[in-house]
Formats: sequence, C-alpha cells, structure tokens
Amino acid sequence: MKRTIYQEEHVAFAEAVAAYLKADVAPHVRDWEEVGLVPRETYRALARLGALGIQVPAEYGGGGETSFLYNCVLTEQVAYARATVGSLRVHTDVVMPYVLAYASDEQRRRWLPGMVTGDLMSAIAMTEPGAGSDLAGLATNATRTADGWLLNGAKTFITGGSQADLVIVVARTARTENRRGGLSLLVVEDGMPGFTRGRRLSKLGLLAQDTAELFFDDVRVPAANLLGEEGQAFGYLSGNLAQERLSIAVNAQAQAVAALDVTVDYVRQRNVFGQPLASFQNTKFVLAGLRAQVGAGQAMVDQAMQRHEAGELSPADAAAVKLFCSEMQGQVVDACLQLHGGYGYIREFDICRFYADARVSRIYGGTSEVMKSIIAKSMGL
Amino acid sequence: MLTPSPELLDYQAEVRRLLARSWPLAHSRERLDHGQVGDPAAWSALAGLGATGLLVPANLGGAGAGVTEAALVSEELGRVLLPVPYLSAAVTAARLLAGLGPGPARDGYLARIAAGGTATVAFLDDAGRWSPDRVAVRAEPAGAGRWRLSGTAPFVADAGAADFVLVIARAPDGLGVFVVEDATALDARPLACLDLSQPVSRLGFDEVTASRLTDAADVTALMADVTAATLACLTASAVGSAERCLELSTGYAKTRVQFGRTIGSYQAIKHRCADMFTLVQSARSAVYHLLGLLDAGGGQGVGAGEIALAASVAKAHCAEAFLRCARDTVQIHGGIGFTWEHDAHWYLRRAMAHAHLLGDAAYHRQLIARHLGVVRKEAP
Repeated sequence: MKRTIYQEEHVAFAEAVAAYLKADVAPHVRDWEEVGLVPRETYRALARLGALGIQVPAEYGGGGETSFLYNCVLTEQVAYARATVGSLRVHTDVVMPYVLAYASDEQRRRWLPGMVTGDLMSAIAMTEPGAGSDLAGLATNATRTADGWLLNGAKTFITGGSQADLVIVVARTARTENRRGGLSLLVVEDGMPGFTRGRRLSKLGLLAQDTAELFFDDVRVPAANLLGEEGQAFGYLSGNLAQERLSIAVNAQAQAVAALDVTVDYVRQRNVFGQPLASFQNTKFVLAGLRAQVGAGQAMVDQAMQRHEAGELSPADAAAVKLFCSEMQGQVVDACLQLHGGYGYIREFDICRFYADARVSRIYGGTSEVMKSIIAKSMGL
Repeated sequence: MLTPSPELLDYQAEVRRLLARSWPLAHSRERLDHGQVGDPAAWSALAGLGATGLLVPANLGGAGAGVTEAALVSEELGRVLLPVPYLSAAVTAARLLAGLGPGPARDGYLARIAAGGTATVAFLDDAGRWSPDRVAVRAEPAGAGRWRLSGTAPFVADAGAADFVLVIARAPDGLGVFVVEDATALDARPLACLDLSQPVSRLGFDEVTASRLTDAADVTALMADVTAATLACLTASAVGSAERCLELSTGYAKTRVQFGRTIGSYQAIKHRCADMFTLVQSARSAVYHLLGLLDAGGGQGVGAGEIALAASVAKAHCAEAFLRCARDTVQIHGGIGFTWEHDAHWYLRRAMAHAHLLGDAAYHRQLIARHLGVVRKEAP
C-alpha cells in the first residue's frame, strides 16, 4: 500500500541518504562486521548529510527540525540499502533527545556541536549485569564530593560503548523510600581517570554495532556534567521510552521489508527441480502471507509515527507496535531464510545477516514479555 | 513405550471391520438425525466382541485385560464417532470398580458391565476436570447402611443411558464411591452440546438414596489412576478420529480436481496433509508412551507421578493435534467441508469437546510445568 506519512522533504532526504549508503556503506558491511564496528569517518560523512543533528538547533550546527520522521527515514534507508550504521541510532535516537531536553546552556555549547559533526559520539549506560528493564534495581552509584561526584559501578551491553566520547551513565545518587527515586544522569567523558572499557561483547547479530562493558572505578565526574536535575533520571528515562520503542519498531519493520525484498529476488533467480523456486506454490504462498504481515506492520508503524508526531503516542501504544513489529520481523526473517535453503545459512547472503540481526529486536528496549506487561497494565489487568 | 503385539493388532482390526461394516458414521448420523440417543444394538455388538468387559476381571465375565486393549478399541470408536458410552462405562466405571477390590456389590456391577450393561461416573468438577478438593456432591448417612446424596455434578457423560451411576461424593469421613441404582431418581438435565455424538448431562442430587461401595479405600489415589486410564482411552480415541480426518483429507485431495489438477498436487494441500500425518503419528506415540507406563504400573517401579506426567503430555498433545487435523480437514475440503451433509464438522465438534474434557492443553501443560518444578503454585 502507498505510504502517506512522508512529505517531499523526507523523500529528498531519503534519496540523498540512500545514494550515500549504497555507494559508500553497503560494500563495506562485511569488513566492518569483521572488525566489529563502523569507522568514525562514516559517522562524519553521514553528519555532512545532516543525519546526526536533525533536531539540534541551527546555532549548534544542526537542522533545527522538531520532527522524528527524518530519523525514521534514515533507519529505513539503512535497511533498504542492506547497509549498517553501527551504533549511530543510539547516538541520534536515544542520547540526543536527553541532551536536547535536559542539558544546560553551557552543556549544549560544550557537546552539541561535536555531536552534530560526529566528533563527539555518545552512548547511554543503563543496563547492568544485574538489572535490565528493571531500572529501579540499578547498583552503580555516585557519591557527592566537593566539586562533583565519585562514580563507581559497572555497566554492560552498552551499544557504541567502545568508541563513545560521551557516556551518559545512569547512577544511583541517593537511597530513597521510592525505588524510582535517587537516580541521576552523569556524563562521563573519554579519558576520565577510572573510566575503563571492558571487552567488546561477541554477539549473535548486529556484528558491526559495537557493544561493550564499561567500568567506573572512583571516576571523578565534575558537577558540570550532571545532566538534568539530581534524582530525576527515572522520570527522564521513562519519558523517552515511547520514542525509543517506536524507533525499534521502525527498524524491525524496515528490516522485514528488506528481508522480503531480497527473498523475492532470490526465489526468482534460483532454480530447483528444473524450475524457478518462485514457481512453486509453497514459495508463492509463504511470500504472499509474509507480504500481508509486512503490510499490516507498516500500517501500524506509520500510524504510530503519525501519533508520535502529534505527541500522542502512549507508552502502551509504543509497546504494542514494538511487540507486533519485532515478532513479525522474527517470523519474516525465519520464513525467508528457509526459502533460501542452505544459502540462507551462509553469511555471504544478506538474509543470513537479517536473520541474525533480527533476534535482538524482541529483546532490546524491553523484551516482548515486558511489552506485554505494559500493554496488560494499560488494560487494567 | 508400548509395542502392540500382533494378536492385539488383529483384535483391533476385527473391531475396525465390525464398525466399518455395521456402524459407520453415516449410520450414527442417521440415528442422531432422528433424535435417537445412543445405539444399544452397537453396544450389544461391542459386548459380544468382549470389548465392554476388557477391564473387568476374568472371573466376573470380563477379559481381565489392560488399559491398552481398551485404548485400541477407543481408537476405533473414535474413527467412526460411535455414540456409545464406552469411555464412561467400559473404561472409567470399570477401572474405578476394579480398583475398589473384591466384594459382592462391586463384583455384581463389574459383571453387569462385562455383560453389556451401561454405567457412568459422576466425578468431573465445574471445569470438566477431576479435582479431589472440588467434589460438589455430599453424602450423609441415612441409616441401615444407606446414604443420602445431595449437590450437583455439573458434567456427566452418557448419564441418560446409564443403568447405574457411580458417584464420587464427600462423606463426613472423606471421599467415597457411591452408587445410585435408580437413575430416574436423579434430576438429569441434558446439556446442549457442540459434540452431537457424546451426550452430557448435569445431574442434580436431591437427597438421593445411594449405597456406598467403599469405606476406607484411598479414593484420591484411586481416582488418579482412573483419570490416567480414562485419559489414555480418551486420547487414543482422539488419535483414531484424527487419523480418520487425515484419511478423509488425503482421499479428497487425490480425487478433487481444480484448475485441471488434483488438489493434492498443490503444495498448499500436500504440505497440510503431511503436517497432519506427523501430528497423528506423534499423537499416537504420546498415547503409546502412556499406555506402556499404565500397563507396567503396579510393582514395576512406575510411579503415579510418572503416569500422571505421561497422561498430561498425551492430553496436551493429542487435544491440539486432533483439533488441528479436524480444522484442516474442513479447510482442505473447501466449501463442501463447511456443509452440514459432510462429516468434517462431526470430527471438528468432537475435537473441540475432547479438547476440554478432563482438562485442556493449557491446563495439562501447567501440570507438566509443575511436575518439572518450574512452577510452584497449584494449577487453577
């Protein structure tokens, strides 16, 4: 079905990004998967296309947009081009909103220009070995000193963590009656004494997206690096969850579209038992069924994007669209890989990567089970 | 796992021949269309083959056989959906009575079943399952060794045709097995059921006079065994029904021509048939596993827990396998499968009824989870 969510300017942006991704990113994906990250120069090149500072005010070098749709365009084009932008989406879709919303004027001047050019890449450190979606159970803590904070703890599964220049660390700064209280955001910079990075975690998929363990051993964080107000982090973090989940849904949806596209191409050129794979009824029916599912996902995602633009996407709606699209993506890549037969199991084929990359969609940003809990709660259950 | 002997398979084949020749589904449908409940002639023929007394000891006129034999007969009855009280009388009632131990009254009832009498057991709770702490019929002593029953048994199969009704009721000293000789004394309300071939009633006991068949037996343990045996025959019957669905589907797929080809040549149909075949085979394996344990039970180190686990596995799998086969049979037959005249809906109705009798798949998976120790709390 024809999509109506995008205007002319989005289409123009999509075309520019797509041209760059096809020419300068897609050919390198396998090499970058080998080393486990995307080179900084790629982020700088995307920055020159305006992709990093979309919502950043013009005075800091950004695009001054309020719409989230450009981020969605980028995510989609990366999938359609069978490319990767490593951990960029954490920088643009997750960290940037916190800086834009809560940074002081001094902090904005200090960080935003670099974040827009790709000279300052960022990560957010929430998850710990013992706490995932249950933010209130975090153990990393910071105690007050004369001129700031003394930070101690460990974080894991931090996307972009191995090359980030700025890491927003969620730390406990006070013990309060309310488990959700007492959490603050502290910005740790590359090179601060006591801040070390552990191994880059080896993963099932998303091989070009670096994922790291981070350690904080008596890190002295200056008072000027407190982001927002002390003790308010829980509210900040949950406030942006809907957009983060929408972003995951957009990605899951676009990846499903791309997986279906590569598979349709494949079955048309592959011959088995003397005829094109595409001529078998099973092939047609499986792909037709997936097409219907992908269409349903697109309708839901587009509707959610529209609601989000209007500022009306509820947490439960965001959870529902993330749940549906990530589960759908899982079914699509599985069925598509099956149609590739043995070649689907070979990394040279795009479907192999789509399959491996898809698995985490049902886990990160909150598992499908967590999404169901949120939805159930909204139903009064 | 059970490996049926050649003699057993011969016996099963003989039952199949008898049913195919004299009591095919077309015959039962004709009777049911005319409002006739049950099929006494078919029941007598089964008794003539010794099928109703398989679980009755040999000295009482039965075959003294195991649950396996009764399950194989159940499988055959499932193929033709014969509306006879086999599960109620020849399996549940017979297994219950046989488990009580010898005594003149109990021996008499067993002999009646072997000779072709009918019976049923009122034991299911309001969720259609057996649960010792949800027995809703109470028993009070009425003097002279008699008892008075009051309360309601919400789901009782084949009550209308029963010569006598066995009742699990709560007496002041615990659960007991009672018998009501005069079924007309009961307030029996036939329920309007989806499955037209298996009548179910709600039985009201309004100070009904009954006699007690046991004083001290551990009724809870006995009923666990009776439930497992009943589940074995119920799931075996589901296997028979599901296999019949597969035959109907493959038969149709080979003869029905669309777009110039038999529909079985299309992958959409042949793959579905292959899936049904796999379900039937795995369902039969689950039943055979349960039968192997049940027939080895008693003294050979097979614990009640292991049997209960196998029974839950069989029910959880067979209920869904049969339902899937019945649904696919309708789908494969297209429009004709949706008509009243076709047999497909009879199997679908039976599958939906079977799915719930003695606990649905979700309930049994929960029991399995509890057995594995992954959930602590009681199943609902």
